[in-house]
Amino acid sequence: MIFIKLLQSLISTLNSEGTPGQIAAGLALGAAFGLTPLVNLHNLVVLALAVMLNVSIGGVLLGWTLFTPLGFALDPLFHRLGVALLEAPALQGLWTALYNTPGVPLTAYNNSVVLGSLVGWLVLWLPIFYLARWLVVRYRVMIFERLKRMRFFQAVTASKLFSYYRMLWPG
Amino acid sequence: MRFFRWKAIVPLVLILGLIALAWRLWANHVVRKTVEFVGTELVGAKVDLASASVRLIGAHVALRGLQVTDPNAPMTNLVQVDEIVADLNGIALLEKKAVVETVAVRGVRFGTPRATSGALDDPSPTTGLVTRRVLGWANSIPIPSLDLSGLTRVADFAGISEDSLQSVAAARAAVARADSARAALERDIRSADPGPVIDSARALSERLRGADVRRLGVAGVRDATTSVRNVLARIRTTRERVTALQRDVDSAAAALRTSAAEVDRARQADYAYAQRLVRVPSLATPDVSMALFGEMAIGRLQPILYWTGLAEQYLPPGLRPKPRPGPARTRMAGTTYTFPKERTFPTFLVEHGDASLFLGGSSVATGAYRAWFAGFTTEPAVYGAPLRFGAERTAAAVGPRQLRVTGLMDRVGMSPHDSIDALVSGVAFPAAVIRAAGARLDWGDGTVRLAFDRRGEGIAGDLRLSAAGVTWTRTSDSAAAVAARLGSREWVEALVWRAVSSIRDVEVDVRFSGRADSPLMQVSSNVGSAVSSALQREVGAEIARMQGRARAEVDRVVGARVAQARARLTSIETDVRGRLATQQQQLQEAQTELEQRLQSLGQVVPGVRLPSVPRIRPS
Repeated sequence: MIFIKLLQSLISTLNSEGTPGQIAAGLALGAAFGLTPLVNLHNLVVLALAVMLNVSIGGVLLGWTLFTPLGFALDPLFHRLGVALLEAPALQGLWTALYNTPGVPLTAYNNSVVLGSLVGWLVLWLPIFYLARWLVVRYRVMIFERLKRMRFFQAVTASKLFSYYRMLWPG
Repeated sequence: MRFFRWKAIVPLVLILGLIALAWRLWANHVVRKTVEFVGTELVGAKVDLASASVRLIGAHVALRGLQVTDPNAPMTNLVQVDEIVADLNGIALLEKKAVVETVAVRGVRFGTPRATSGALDDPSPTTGLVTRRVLGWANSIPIPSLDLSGLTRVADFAGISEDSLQSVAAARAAVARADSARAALERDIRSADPGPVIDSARALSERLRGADVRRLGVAGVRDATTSVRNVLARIRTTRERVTALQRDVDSAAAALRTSAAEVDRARQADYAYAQRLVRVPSLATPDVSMALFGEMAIGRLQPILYWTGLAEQYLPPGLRPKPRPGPARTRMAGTTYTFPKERTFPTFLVEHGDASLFLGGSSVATGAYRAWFAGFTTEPAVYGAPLRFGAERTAAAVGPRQLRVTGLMDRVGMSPHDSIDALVSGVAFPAAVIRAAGARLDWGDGTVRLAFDRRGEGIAGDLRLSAAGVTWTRTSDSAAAVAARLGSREWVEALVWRAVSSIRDVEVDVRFSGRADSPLMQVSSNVGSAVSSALQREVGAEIARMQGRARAEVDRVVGARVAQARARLTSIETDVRGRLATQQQQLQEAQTELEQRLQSLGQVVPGVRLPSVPRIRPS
């Protein structure tokens, strides 16, 4: 079931009328939900950006879905990165200032996994964006034309979910 | 293409509204669970909270029905509080810090029964860490027994062998060290052999003895002088080498004396081991006092160690960033750091608390109290002032006439300083069971004084219990003692009973010192002294004889080895030192002789001044 939904999301996003840039930007933003611990203040900012900016919401959902398992797998790496940053002598002044600034501690930046994954996502944002945009372009040119003649593809795109999706997010 | 999706503001506001609604619905639950979790971690037993009410506007928190289980008695609450109402600092809350501006506590009760057990089914590794550490310490304190059954048994020394005694291994190690040091010194002595230099000096001296200077001529005298100066230089170098060797011998001898001291220590340990084999206890007053009151003293000391341990864990000194495990979640928890800074809000602070309370009922705690504290914080270095606290009893319905406690916990600097001073008088201590006497001690009207001081890692303290007009009650069968054989439990109980039953004033002094996490404890008491004297009188001679036999058995097994080790150690001191002293003497003589020849050569040539040769003094 989850696999079918993922497939639907993938196909519907890739074949929407959004530009490759919109889909790629949405996917790179959605990666934040997957790579970083979800219930955190920074993800509220990412959500606001995803909703306010004219990026593909399907791309955001796809990014979230694709990067969630990766986030779990990379947690030990994010933890090490976070510890290295939080213990770096040169950054102690910055962390101390942030820790004592109203509002900032609510972001849980002082947790190794949160900081490590956030920095990891920020670093990966542009590579994810460019790679996704290139893949969407290649997909539309090389694969989409062949796929849309297949019955299975037509069945998936004709499903209710797809219809709702197109109704809510036509662009 | 539009860059912003302005229509999305509505769903975004809707999402934020949903989040606010979720907070409204779940905040109280989250706070309740957090208080329970943190409290349980801290205490090591269940902490229950009936309800929590949080108002962000006004930063107001109300906790109701708090029950903290006593970790040592899971069916009893350490403390139960009906209601705690606190106003927090709103700005500090934005920094995820709880700064309590005012707090009101209502309905405080101690030692109330629980409806369900407060023991933890599956405690986490960090839960009750301090409790476990204190219990570990309590179990590690050896409490000597007054078991004299060894007096009636045939002493079995089969356990005393070369393999079981420490001094044999220590002696072997000392011999090995001595042999190795001796080999190294011998090698150095050989390489610095002064024989050839002494021979050359003697030969030259002999050649110049009675030489006619006029016949040698100026050139001959010059050559002879040069030869003498060269040999004297070689003598000087050789003597310096021998002096350096003597210094090496001194340091080797110092190291070997340490080995000898280790052998002595091991031998004392072996004597103690042998005495354990014959199963006769020490009758010294401190040991007897420990046997009688050790268990009670540990029980009294445990709460002090518990609270200092808790302070150690949760009130760390200094301003270093503190890592702690991150929050439990599906994702990896990671590590959360705090970055304290002076003159900011600490993570938790109650600046001042003042309470007057009355404890009802008919227990010894019943009465009116006044308690106060200042600067209760989890980050003393950030707050910049120590925690000060005090409590006193203002009126007593039952129990102590006087109760006064004052204390200080200074964790502002990197080296902690804690001190507690307490006095409780007119207290009816719980009766103490003195197993060694087969008796119960009812203290009557007692006084407890506690002085505790911690500086850095070291602690020092004195807990003094005194009671006048105590009563002793025999709990064991006194009839059995009549026919009891020497050394049996009944016999010891009867003896100890005779010694203690006439004592009316009891003084117990518990001194503790050493490291804060594993302090050493000494107990002394007038009761211990009386029992010790009685035991010495009755069985002292027999115990001394058995202890002497045990020591003799150890000496028999290890004597030869230890003597061998000592001989090796002393031989280095005497033999090597003697040889080096002889060499120094020979070099000195050769040098003196050559210097005389040099003087003779200078005197017989008129108008010729020979350069003076510096005299070499043995160092």
